[in-house]
Order: sequence, then structure tokens, then C-alpha cells
Amino acid sequence: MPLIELKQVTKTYHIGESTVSALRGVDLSIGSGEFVAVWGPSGSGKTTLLNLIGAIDDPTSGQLFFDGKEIITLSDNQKAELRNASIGFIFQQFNLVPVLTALENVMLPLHIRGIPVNNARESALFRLNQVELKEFIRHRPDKLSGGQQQRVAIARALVTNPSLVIADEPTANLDTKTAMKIVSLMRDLNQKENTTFIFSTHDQRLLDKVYRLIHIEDGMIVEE
Amino acid sequence: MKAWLTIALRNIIKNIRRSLFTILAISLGFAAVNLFGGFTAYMYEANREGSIYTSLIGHLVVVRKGFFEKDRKETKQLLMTPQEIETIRNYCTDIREIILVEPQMRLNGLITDGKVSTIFIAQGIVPSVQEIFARETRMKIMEPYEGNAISADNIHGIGVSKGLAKFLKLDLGSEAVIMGTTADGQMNAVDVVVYNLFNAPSAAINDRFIKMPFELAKQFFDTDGAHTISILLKNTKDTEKVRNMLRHQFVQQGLDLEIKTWNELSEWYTKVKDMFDIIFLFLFVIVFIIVIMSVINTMSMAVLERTREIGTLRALGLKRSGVMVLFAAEGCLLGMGGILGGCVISLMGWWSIYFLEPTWTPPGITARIPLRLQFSPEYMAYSLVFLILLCVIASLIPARKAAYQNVVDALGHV
Repeated sequence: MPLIELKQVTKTYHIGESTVSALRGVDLSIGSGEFVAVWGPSGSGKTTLLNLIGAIDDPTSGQLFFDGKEIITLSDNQKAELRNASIGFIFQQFNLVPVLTALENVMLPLHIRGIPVNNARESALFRLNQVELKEFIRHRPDKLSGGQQQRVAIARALVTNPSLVIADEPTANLDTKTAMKIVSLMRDLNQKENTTFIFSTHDQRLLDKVYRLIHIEDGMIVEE
Repeated sequence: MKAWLTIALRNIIKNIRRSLFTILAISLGFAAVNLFGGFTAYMYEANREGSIYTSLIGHLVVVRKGFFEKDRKETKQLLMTPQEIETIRNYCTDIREIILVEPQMRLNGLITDGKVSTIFIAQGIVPSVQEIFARETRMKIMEPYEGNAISADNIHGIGVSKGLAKFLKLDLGSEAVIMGTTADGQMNAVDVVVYNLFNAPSAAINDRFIKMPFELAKQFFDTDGAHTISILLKNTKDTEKVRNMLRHQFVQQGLDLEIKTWNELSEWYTKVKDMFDIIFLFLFVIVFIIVIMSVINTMSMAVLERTREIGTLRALGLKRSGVMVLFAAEGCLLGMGGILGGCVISLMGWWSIYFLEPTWTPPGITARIPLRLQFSPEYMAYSLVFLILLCVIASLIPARKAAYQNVVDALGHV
């Protein structure tokens, strides 16, 4: 059974009097342990696709399954629990909580789940060690570089041992060298832990690192 | 919960200027409510003490039914007999809440220094009650008198209110004559000597009030009876309880008597209390509005600035209720900061009054009295809990909006 399955999924936005079709009849299947890049120009529907897969938005029509469960049938609280347990997020602008240290940011998903502090701390330290930020655990985000912040975000995304990590343009705010390092790190983690990674990008230089490429344009998958 | 409190506290510190303004608003509101509450509590107690102790009336007054309503022409019928007085004393002996039962007279007439005459109203009291009332009072507001206490040893020694003494140019030791009608309507006149000068409990009667020994009052009115019986209790809280007990006895024995409480007789106390209650309500509502608006304003700004952070937390799996708890925690901490500041301001207020010992002349009072603020821990506790709840509720208003925001829109907020 695929981890993610989309069947004729559409997403339409109404902006004032006009209607925008962000996704148009998308069929997609992603298995466990895959390392997938979704690429296309700005406005092609990459972010919309990732938002739907990540259960932070609902399709206008069609079916979307996560690990066999249809997401649209879940309540808001059930979706929140699903995201906390099974999906990690990495954002373009890192989205770390500015008043928390690197360690505290990584512990956050575990606090949300209600994991005891000591256990959460141990898991967070392990992940920060994995992304080579052991010396920076007490630093707040404003004291970290862009690359370091994104590594903290990666650690945070993985701390709950999710089946899926979604990264929406994770390297857009980084220089090329750092961007390449981040993508390499994500790929290494994908190989070691068999966690499925889906990330969006419009940077072609990163596409060599991926095993599977989904080309999206005008809300439709045009090529895989 | 610790994580949310940590985030809340650090965000308060991060926006320290804004937080301090909100905390200051809450502090001033809390202090205002407590200091004014302390002032009103002092006013209530001072009025209560005045009505019960300073006036020498006591907690309960037993009278013939209709005494306060009927025409003074029926004065003789309104007197209580010596037998009735003794019966009431006997009833009261078995009630341990009572510490004093004594008859009193209420008289009026003319007083003259030989040259000038004016009207007077008088309270005829058993002299020994003065010491008991002075001992039992919880609050000494004014000096009871200048000179000597009226005494049973010389029943012609009277106390004269300072306004009356000034009008008649009487001083300590001055002689005067009081004239009036007896219970049978006959004219009577008695020589008196001024033993003491005092400030009457009310400015309205300071130019006509006399206190005289009960025996002189009986002689002047030519009677063995009494107009009223004053009952003093150990504790004001027992007033209604003792009244009910005595009422029950009077009904059983078929006595044509009624019992009034100190606050029923003191129209001034009731009206002053009602006035202060209304003023306090106004103040409380204003403080309530200021606190709510300050917290809503601060938290709305916080929610707006942290919209993307809220979207991120929701994406990480925080439920809507979790978002509300996060901001409620921040509101609660702001409230606690405000209360702490409010306690400091309140204490400074109390200490200032304590050290400066200001005096003032309240409306209707004839002398300057100390200005005090009562300290009520219960009161502070109630207002503390209420303010914290208010801050939490005020935080929930913008927090709810944030919690129900679309996650994608929140993540895309700039």
C-alpha cells in the first residue's frame, strides 16, 4: 500500500470574484521511504500539493489517502494528531519559534504530544547531534545562520520519527553551497531511516540529488 | 504546560515595553480597586462604630410599638414601665451574646444661660454605659468629650455639644437651666451644670444636643419609665439572631414592644453605604473595561505578530485548544504581573496613609477624624482571582480568532 495516494484531487481558490484552480485532477502515489522532489515554476501548484499531502489543507474534490486513511474524513483535531505523529514539516523560512533555543524548538513536537520532558530532551539531543548542531543547542534562532536554522528545522521535523517529511522550498533562502548540503542531509536521513521525504523546489541544480522527480505545471502533473 | 508558560513568559519579556504598559494598567486598576475598597471598608466601619458605639445607642433598641412613628403628644403611652424594663433585663440575662442592657430617655425642651434660650434634644443615659461603650468600640475616631464624664454621683452634671455651648457661651462648669414638659404635659425646669463638652455624632444636631444622667432625665420628665432600652452585643454579627430571640419572647409574653437594629435607626449609615457601593461599582466597571481593553489590545498585537508561528505550531500538531491555552497563559502571566505591581502600589498607598496619618472632616461630621484605609486580605484575594480570570478571558478573544485561522493562510502571513 502506498504511503500517500491522491485520486483526481483538485483544489480551487476563490479570490474575490475570480476562481483559481491550483490543482486540477492530480493522481499521485508515493511509497514509503521515497525521496521525491516536486518541481515546477512559481504558481504551478507545488505548495498546494504539499499542503494537501501534509493535511494542513483540504482538497476541493477527489480523494487523498495517508497510510490508507482518507484525510478528508478526519476532524481538525484528528488531522492535528496525524501531523504530530506521522508528518514532519520543513519550511522555506525555517519557522523556528524565536524565543526558544535550538533544543527547545526541536523538543516542541514532543511537548505537543505530551512526552515527558526528560524523554523529549533525549530525543531532541539525538536529532541535533545527527544534524551536527550539538554545540548550538542553547542558541536561539537569531544567533544561528540560515543553514544552521534549517538543520534545526530538519531535526524538529524528524524528532517524532514521522513516516513522512514535507519540505516546501527548504533551500530557497540559502546560498547554493548550503542548499546542496541541506538536500544531502535530507537524503542521508532518508536512506538511514527510511523516512519518506517530499520537497518542492524550482531550483534545477538540486534535482540531481533526488531519486524521483515530479514535474508540475498549471496544477497538473506533466511528467514524472 | 511548562513549555507554554516558557514561551508565554519569554514573549512577554521580548516585548517588554508593550508588556509593561499592560502590566501597569492592570497594576493601577488592581491598586485602585483595593485602595478604594479599603477606604470604603474604613468608612463602613467608622459609620458602623459611630452608629453603635459613639452614639451610645448599641446594637438593638427596644421601644413601645409605634414609638418612632407616633405623635409626641402620646409620649406617656410610649414609655416602657419599670416592670417591662425589668422583664426585658431578665430575658437578656440568658442570652450570652448580650453584654449591656440599659434604659435611655429621649427628651427635648429649652435651655437657657439666663440671658439667651434655645431648643435642645437630649439623650438620658445611665452614666456607667459610657465606660462600657468606650471599652467595646473597635475604632476610636474622635475624643468622646472634653471635661468630666457625666456621673450618677451628681445627676445635674450634663454634657453639652460644642455648637450649643458656643451659641450659649457655655463652658466647663457653667450653669444653665433646662425647661420642658413632663410626661403629663406639665412644665418643669431643672438647674444643670456643664460637666463636659463634646462633638455631636452629626453636624445637624451639634447646636442642640445634650447628654444627661438617666436619673436627671426621669426627674425632668417626671416618670419612672424609659423611652428606649439599649442592648449592646459582643459581636455585631449576632444582631439579627438576638433580635429574633427577643422578638420571640415578646410575642410569647404578649408584650407590645418592637426591636430596631442599629442600621435601621441609622439612616445615615444605610445611605452612605449605598452611595459608596454605587461609587465602587462604577470604579470597578471602569477598571474592568480598562484591563480588558489593555489585555485585548496587547494580545491582539501578539497574535498578529505571531501568526506564522501559530501556523507552524498548528502544522506541528498543536490543536486549536492548544493555541488558546498558549495565549491564555500569556494573558494569565500579564495578569499576575499586574497584580504583583498592584500589590506593591497598594502597600505603598497603605503605608503612606499609615505614616502620614492624615485627618479629614467627612460630610455631616463635626470634627476632623483620621483618614484610614482598611486592609482586607479576603477582598484582595477575590479581586486577584477575578482579575486573573478577566485577563485570561480577554486573551482568549484574540486567541480564538488565531486558533481558528486557516493553517495555510497563517503560514503564508508576512
